[in-house]
Amino acid sequence: MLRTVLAGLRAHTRRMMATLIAVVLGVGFVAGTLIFGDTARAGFYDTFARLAQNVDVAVLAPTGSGGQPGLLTDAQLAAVRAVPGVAGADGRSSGPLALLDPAGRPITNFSRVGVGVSTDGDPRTRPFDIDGRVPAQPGEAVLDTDTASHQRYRTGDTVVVVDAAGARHSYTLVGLIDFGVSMTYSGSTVVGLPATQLATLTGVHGYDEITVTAADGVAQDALARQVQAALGSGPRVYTGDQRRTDLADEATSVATEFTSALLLFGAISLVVAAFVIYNTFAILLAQRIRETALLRCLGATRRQVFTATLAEAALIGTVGAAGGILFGIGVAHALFGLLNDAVHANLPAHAVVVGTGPVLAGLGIGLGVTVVAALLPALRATRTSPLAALRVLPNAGVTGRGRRIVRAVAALLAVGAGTAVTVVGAGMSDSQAATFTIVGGGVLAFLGVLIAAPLYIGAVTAAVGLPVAAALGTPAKVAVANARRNPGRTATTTATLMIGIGLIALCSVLLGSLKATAEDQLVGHYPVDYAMAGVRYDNARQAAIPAGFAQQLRARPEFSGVAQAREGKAQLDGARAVIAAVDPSAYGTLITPATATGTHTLAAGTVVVSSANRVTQHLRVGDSVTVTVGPRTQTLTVAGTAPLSIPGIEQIDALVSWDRFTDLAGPGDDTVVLAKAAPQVSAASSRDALEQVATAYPLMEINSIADLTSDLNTQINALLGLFAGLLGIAVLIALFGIANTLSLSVVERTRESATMRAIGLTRAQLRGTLLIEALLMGVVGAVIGIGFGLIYGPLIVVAQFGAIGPIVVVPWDWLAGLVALAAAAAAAAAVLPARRAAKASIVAAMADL
Amino acid sequence: MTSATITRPAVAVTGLTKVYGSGDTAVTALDDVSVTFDAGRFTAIMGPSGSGKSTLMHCAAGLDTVTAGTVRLFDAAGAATDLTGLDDTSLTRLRRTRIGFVFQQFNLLPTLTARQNMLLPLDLAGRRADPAWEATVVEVLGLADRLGHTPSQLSGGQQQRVACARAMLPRPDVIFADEPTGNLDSRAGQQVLGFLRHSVRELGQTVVMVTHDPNAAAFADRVVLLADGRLAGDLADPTADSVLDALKNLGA
Repeated sequence: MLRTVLAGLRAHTRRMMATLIAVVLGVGFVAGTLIFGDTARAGFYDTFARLAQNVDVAVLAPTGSGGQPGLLTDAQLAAVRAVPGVAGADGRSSGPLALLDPAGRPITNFSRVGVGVSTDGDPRTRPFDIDGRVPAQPGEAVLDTDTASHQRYRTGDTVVVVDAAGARHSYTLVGLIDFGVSMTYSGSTVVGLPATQLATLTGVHGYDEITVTAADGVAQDALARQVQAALGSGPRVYTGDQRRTDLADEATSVATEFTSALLLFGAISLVVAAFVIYNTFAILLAQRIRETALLRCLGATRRQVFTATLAEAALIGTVGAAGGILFGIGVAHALFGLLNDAVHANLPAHAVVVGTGPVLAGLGIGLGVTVVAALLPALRATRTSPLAALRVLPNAGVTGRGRRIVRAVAALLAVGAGTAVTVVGAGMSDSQAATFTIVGGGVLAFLGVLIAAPLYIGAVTAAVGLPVAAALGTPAKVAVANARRNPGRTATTTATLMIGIGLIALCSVLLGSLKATAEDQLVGHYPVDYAMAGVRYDNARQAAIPAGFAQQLRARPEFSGVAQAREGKAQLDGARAVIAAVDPSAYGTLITPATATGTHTLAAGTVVVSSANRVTQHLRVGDSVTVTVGPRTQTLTVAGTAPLSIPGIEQIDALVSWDRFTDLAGPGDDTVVLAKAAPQVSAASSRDALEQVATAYPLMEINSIADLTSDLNTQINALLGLFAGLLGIAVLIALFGIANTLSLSVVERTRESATMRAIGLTRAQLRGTLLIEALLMGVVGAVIGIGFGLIYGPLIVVAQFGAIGPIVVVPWDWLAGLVALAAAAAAAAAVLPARRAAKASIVAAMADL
Repeated sequence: MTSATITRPAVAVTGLTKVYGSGDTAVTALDDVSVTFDAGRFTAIMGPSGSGKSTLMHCAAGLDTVTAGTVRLFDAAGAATDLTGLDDTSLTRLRRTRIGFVFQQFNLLPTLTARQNMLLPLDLAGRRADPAWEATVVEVLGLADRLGHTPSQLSGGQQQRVACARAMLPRPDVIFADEPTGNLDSRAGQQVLGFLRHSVRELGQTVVMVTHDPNAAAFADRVVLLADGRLAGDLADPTADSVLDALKNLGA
């Protein structure tokens, strides 16, 4: 029997090619993701382990109050040095430290300033590589290589840092240091200085970590116990090996996050590949019905027919999986580029690691998916009666009424359940739970849509195709008829496109809405051109902007409006919250919240609360709310609710009047200053004026709203590109599916095509017929998929961002492009089958039975 | 309506040679065959398997290329078109309206109804059927109550009658029938042959039929015999017996 299988495969290599490619692509994506995960992990491991290279014992500072890391003292360092068996011990200190760019503005990463690290200590245990030397004298410093290359600083240049008090200090660079891709400092500037100078600049006195080297012959764990004994409880003591493992685990969790997200896309590709495989076997076995029947006539048992079919699938699965693993290595490579480019993932470069895990997984998945997909067709093949060998050609399959009813009922159940779950989800108040529930409902409903596909695909095809056919004439009419003749086959073929295109459509609605909503938040409410904010040192501390800045700015004719805003932590009815206030000269004019209920006007005893945030969602106009800042508490009445957002302040729960804020928090500097350029002032001259005034304020970031908007655009587009790229593999597999179905159909319709040619269809018309058929499948798949995306995209947007009044955007241009692309790609997929069909000689095709 | 008055050729094949393959594997299917099929006549081509009768039909119908020789198709006015000089597209266009086909396997398109199948060549040519002529054909073939059915809902005989209608509707210069009764029981076969003869005698069609069945050939006005790729005989007003005799002589 095996010989029959092999002979069959040899004879039909070409027919199996598209299936093989589907397996290769599907497995390739998954294996590639796994290989990528291993490689990223190895890369992270290398760079993270560097943080503890040559360290025998590491002492970490105890966790301090309020989640802030505590610090180790000089006394503790001395105590460690006194432990017998310690060859050397160094303290590592670090603190936020603002570095200025050549133009004198602070270099920030998500509003945060960079860090300063201590560079003294045993060169062997340094967490960085150095090109040059460590600072030896006052006035010398080192800088991380990434910042140096971005800002074009070189050894010998002078750099300026700003201490916490706002004073500038100049240093000469004597070396460049490289931390690899340690996530600790990723994206930040790192200035290296001797510990004592660093402490003066940052005001941080103490060490994050003490690294210890052991004397010869002293074991790590024994030494660690002794160090722990010397320090008492509090500081956490680890052996060097333990520390390196912990760091590596941290690395792994970073890499795993990426990998699991990617695996989701891999799974989608596999599902699509499974559809293609299923379809291939279903069609092939239908075509081979005489062959199978003949085998049964000659004495093959049902089991033998079944086994032979599965063996065939297994062989294809194995070969495809092997190819997929090779392809996966390329995918892993591409993923690095894609993620680093599109989302600045900062993945460390590392030689691709191909472990046994991904290889075995790839083989298993390829084999499994192929065999499972072939199961149903194989079972169907066993039902072939020996008599079928003697029957005249079967015509286009007509499905029994009973089976159609079963299908309709199953589809209705799935769609009904999916809709019910979706409705429940849409009614949920918790956005996270609502989103997950809606997605779950969507998956169920989509399943129903797929199950029902054979029932409606004919009608949809006719609806799309008949107008085309009316315009294009007979060959197009034949194409429409052909696309409709085998609804199951067409449904399976288009289902693959529905999945891929549907998800891309969903993503484009989500991201488009996200972009529009964010833009609206950014610029819609407040017509300002610039938002200045103090740089952040860490999660808790942010530099303030002296009130003098806003005053100086108001004096400039380039600006027509300047608003000051203060922000502070508070408690609203005992719950943690952020309150803010806008200076009276701008509130109500430049800055006017768009109230959902009540009024934005603030009196002495009133407050406007956020209509979006959880803390304040339950409050209504007229309610009383107690506001506590430090020791002071006031009871205020809610005057209005509004989605509160001020550029530069991330989340505001309540807005009080400027005076009320001063009463509560005391007089203070501004958190943000907003400025609107005067009419007829060019962007360049307002920017110049701003920078002139800002020169005296180095701890302040200048953001132009236009830049923020275009940054946002770039980011969203990059994300959209990323998703489209990841889902693109599923679409690609779907296209191979179309090519596959068509070429199998071409084989099946050899005689029909020849007849058509004989009675007057030209070669070009025959090609056209197939192209139109593919085009129809492409358009129908894309349209149904997009329809689904259009229903669920907005639902998810509303569930996720309902609180902030999201703007649902349907990117029609994108979607139209998607349909056109699907149609064009489908037609392209039909080129080869069409050419083959047209090339066939009429006489030979007629004779071929 | 008798064909004896004026004979005018419908298809004239001259010096037709067809060689398949090349070199050592070359097989000569037709060797310098010249024959003329008269308009308004029912001609049968006969011969043993491998005699080249199907190849002759395929070449004469412009379905296959020729190695040497000419195939001329004449229209009602007597103007000749040399099929061997036409490219594929021109040949295809010509087949739509000037040549009709009836195949052994019926070869209807399963996705189209009987009527759509009948009209397909005219549709392809972008022409409408003459309603009177369509009514005549449908009536003669007894298809009036079957027009909306798909081929899978029709018996073999009905399918072949639809195929005949498809061949006739454009009023082609010639209809080629390739073993039209090969897949039919004898009664349905008789019906189809009777109709082909009727279409020649009463409706003025020209039919050339390839068959290996002497009973079928007996419906024709003339039998052309082929053996080993050459003409081997020509019978006028054949009967089953005379055809059988002629075939026996070929074997001898």
